[in-house]
Amino acid sequence: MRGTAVLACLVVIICGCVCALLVLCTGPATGMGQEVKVKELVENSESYDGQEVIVEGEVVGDLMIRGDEAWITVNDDPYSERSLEEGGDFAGLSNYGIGVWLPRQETEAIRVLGSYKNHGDRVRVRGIFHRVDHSHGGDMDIEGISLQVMKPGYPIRHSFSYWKLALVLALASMAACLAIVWRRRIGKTG
Amino acid sequence: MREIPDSADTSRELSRWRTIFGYIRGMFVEISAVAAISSAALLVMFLVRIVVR
Amino acid sequence: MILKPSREDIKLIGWAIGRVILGVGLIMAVPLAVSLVCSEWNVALDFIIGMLACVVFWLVTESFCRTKKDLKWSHGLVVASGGWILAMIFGAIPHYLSGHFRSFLDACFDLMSGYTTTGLYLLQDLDHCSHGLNMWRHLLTYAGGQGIIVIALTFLFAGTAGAFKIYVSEGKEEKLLPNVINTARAIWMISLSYLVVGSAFLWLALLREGMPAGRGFLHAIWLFMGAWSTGGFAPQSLNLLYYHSLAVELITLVIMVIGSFNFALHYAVWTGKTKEIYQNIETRSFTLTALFGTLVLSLGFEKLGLFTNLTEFFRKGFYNLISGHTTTGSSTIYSVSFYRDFGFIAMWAVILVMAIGASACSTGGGFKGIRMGILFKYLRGEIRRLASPESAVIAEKIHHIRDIWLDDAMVKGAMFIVICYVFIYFVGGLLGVLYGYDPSVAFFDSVSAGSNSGLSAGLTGPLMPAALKVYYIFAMWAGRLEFISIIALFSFGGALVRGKKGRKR
Repeated sequence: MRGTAVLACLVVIICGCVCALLVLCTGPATGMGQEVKVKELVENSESYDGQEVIVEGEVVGDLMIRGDEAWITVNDDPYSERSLEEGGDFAGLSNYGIGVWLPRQETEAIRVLGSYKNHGDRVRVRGIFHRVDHSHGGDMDIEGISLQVMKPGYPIRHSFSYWKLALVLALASMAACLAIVWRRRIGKTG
Repeated sequence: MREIPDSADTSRELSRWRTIFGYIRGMFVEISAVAAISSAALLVMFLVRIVVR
Repeated sequence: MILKPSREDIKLIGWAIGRVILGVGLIMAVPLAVSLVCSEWNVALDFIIGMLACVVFWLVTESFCRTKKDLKWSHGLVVASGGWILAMIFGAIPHYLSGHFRSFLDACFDLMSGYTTTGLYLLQDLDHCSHGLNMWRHLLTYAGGQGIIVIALTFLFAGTAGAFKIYVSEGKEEKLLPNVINTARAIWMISLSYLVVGSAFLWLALLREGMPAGRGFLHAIWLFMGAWSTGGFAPQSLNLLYYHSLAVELITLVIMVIGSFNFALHYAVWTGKTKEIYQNIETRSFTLTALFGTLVLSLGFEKLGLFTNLTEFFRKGFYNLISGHTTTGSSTIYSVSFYRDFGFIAMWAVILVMAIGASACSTGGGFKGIRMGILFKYLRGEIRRLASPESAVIAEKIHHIRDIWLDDAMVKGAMFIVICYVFIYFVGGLLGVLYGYDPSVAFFDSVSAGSNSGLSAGLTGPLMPAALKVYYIFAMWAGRLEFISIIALFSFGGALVRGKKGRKR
């Protein structure tokens, strides 16, 4: 009897320690955010309004720091995997992204922003989706809670286009020949 | 050769500054017009809110 | 009997169009410079290729199309309309070479959208676009807003009597100054002054909002060009929503409204006639239609309980309404939000103001405020005539820089153009419906294209049917040139085929 009671207490203590460890290791406020695409959010904004969501994609453009908070834009279209500048395929759209505002310190891990020259950091953002964000003039955005850099960004290699250079030389030659013809015709007509 | 009197230079200079002042004033007038239209529109919105609610 | 155009006529038109294309090539020097500064070498090659192609075309026309004949009205109309088509083709070269367009048709669509200051685009992966290409996109709207013919007139047509005929054929009738070359230069003076002031304010706002100085400077210039020209292009795919900034939205709103004013109005106000700002029929018409649009928009939002506080209404409702009314197309919401979130009433408020459009002889499109004013005064006159004794003489006048008495020719002219616009809006909407799009979405995008607005409810995109792309290119072109020169171009084509040769003297 006593032995069983001791065993039961030990089990409870061990379970409690395991739970405490899990809480400590996974960081603050483990929400029940669902991973969702930006397109899905925007097209069904009413049903996702106010819900915790997870968006994963490329950070593009600028990191705009405004006091204690910062704005980033996260794109999760096919170009966020491989942009057209990297030789990616046409996806039939421009881009699909969303603005995320976060506490400034959450953005300190971001190193590379997507542009013509760079493929931006791939990030995983957890936050609350707002259909109409009353604290930011009614914007449709995500109030970020946490940000994780999944894959660092890198420079995009643009190898020099020799065929374009050849085309330049061909056109320049054509222009030079035509200029000679033009001068001669002006000379004739006076 | 007859020299151009200083007063001609001064009046040309004044005319140029008056022209520039006119342009700046014109900009202000146009910006004020936009502000007036926007304010009128917000008033309309406000009135609609009162009437509907 | 239709007379077949002579060889001299064709040569003259070719020579004039060659000058317009040279102008297009010369403007490419700006994005070329940006590409070189930003070390975008392949992009620089794209622009050099574009420039050389324009120079080759110009040299061909200069060599083989020289003629002593001077331009007549018919030539001017064909040069304006034909020049725009060729300028679209040559201007699309750097676009297509960039690799961001699936087809040359898509590149031409973006070019026509830029020149006509529409703002719809089929470019893919804008967020990874080079600075050089972004500079070209925005410069297109700035140049197109001035009128690419106006640019050519400013620099390349000095001294020709036919210059005025081409100028008017581009849809501008205002003669600010006696000499049309000086008129073109006055238009540039006004635009460049606002470029300096507007870009400076935008740059300061962007710095305040946390953008780095270098990118902020470029974005400031691009946003200015997009707003002033009422083009609506932006350097990022989220358009104005990217910045999440009330300051940027306020400044661009002011710029887009001022940009939509008639250049003659600017000139009058800037040269001392400040009362013109409230006496002018177009500012009055714009104010009334903007307030009416706001009323309908507010009712729509109240019904849905959306954007009901002042700031949200201003930034999401009023801003997009004015963007549509000035035919700018800058947007602070997602395209699909017009359809999914705005609701029917608010969405149609935006469609209505887009259809009405901005002022004549400005960078805006649509029916134009002056025609709304003319038609309103005509209707009022008719009502008064019906209510008055038979012997009463009723006459209406409008004030546009000076007082103008309404006559039948003026009313007929206004009505003809309005009917043409309604026709292209309707045909585009019908085509969209036939392709399976929702009627509100189809008409929204069709009106947007025909009025050169640029807002989209989600129809316009790289995957839209090719026939719709071709129709929208036509609608943007026809809307921008206000139909007369388009009709002249088709008549010219018809005369080439069917006309009889004139007798030799």
